[in-house]
Amino acid sequence: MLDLHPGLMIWTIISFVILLYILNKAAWKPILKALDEREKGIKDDINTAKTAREKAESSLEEYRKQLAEAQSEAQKIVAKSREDAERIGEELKAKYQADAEALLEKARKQIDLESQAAINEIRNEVAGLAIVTAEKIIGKALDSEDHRRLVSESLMESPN
Amino acid sequence: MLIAGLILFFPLVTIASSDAEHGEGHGDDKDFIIHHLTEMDKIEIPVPTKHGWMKFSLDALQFELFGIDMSITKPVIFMWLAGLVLFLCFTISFRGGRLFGSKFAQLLEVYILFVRDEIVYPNMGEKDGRPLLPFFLTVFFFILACNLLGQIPSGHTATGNINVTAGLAIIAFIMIQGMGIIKNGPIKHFKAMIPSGIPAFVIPIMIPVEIISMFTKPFALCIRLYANMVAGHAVILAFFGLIFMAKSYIIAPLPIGGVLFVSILEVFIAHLQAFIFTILTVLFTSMTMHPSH
Repeated sequence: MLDLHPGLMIWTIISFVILLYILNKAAWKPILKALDEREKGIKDDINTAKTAREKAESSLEEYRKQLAEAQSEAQKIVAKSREDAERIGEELKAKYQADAEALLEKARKQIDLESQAAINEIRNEVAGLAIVTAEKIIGKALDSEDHRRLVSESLMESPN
Repeated sequence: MLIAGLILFFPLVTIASSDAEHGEGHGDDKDFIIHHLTEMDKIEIPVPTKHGWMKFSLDALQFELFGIDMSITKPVIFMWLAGLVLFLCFTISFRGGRLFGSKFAQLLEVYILFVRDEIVYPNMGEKDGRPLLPFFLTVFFFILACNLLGQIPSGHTATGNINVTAGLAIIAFIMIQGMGIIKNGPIKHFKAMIPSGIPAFVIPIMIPVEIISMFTKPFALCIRLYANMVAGHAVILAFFGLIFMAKSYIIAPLPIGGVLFVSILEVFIAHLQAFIFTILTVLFTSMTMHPSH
């Protein structure tokens, strides 16, 4: 069972060396190359994914910052326009109030003037009528100018 | 054609070979195990015919070269068969380095990745391991294929012959020493065998011890593989022998169960021994390449 056959040892070595050569050419080289390539591809993919994620995260951060900035900007704008609107409203209110008061004053003055004129006219009318009446009663035509003066004086004395 | 026939008839051969052993068993009950394990000169191929199973016997091609018996014996044929099986498996499964092929190709890929990632790279590092990877892959798959061919009925375990394992051990020895010499140069390589920092008077003892250890490593590889492969077959044959010794079919289920169990164990051992041979060669090569470790 333990007989030594140097020939068999030599055949083993020869067979092994030939097999090593053939398998190296036909199998190991292409297979190991393919395995290396596949692993390299996976590694590359992982790296690409990692950089893409980092990029996405940084741009998300940037967008967030921009969004926050835009929000505060918008708030500022809203606050400012509200202030402006309030101010303008205040101004307009004041202006129209003043205008209305002036108008009111003017109207009051007008009314005063008008009523004064009307009163004067009524007075003149009354004086005229009194003269006419007096003329008719007295039957004597007096100098209308004198009479008017007289009536006016008497009216002045009497209370309004 | 012969090989194609062998592969095609393997499933049928199961019955034939047990029948054949029945026939042999009558003559010399005790010697058939030894005979079966050492038979080298005849390759017997059972072939079904009209008159039952016929055994075709092929005699070894005997010739001498420079006074050395270089006969093409049974182990040689089965080594070639293992090589052919490997060549066909890998070239057909991975046509042009195509991965993700059939399920069988994926299985082979698992083996390749195991050798690479569990045996070679952890013990040698990727830098040294990558160029030597084809060698270790060949060692692993060649031994595995030789071991497994013996599991096929009417097959033969080439690694169950000490001359074959000795040949493999010689290859491992050349690899271990050769890589050390290539990597470190011959002077540093042989100097590294004497560990630094030991007392001067130990050196005369250390040198022979180191030289002996240089040869015992591959010798252990040779004996380990051979003994493991032979032992399994011997146990299987002994189980079959029980049937003939009892001269009764009634007892048969028991030995058959035992044979089934040992056969499954042997498939495991075939893998384990291929793994051990490879990893030890890797370790020894790595040790001579990096002597400081």
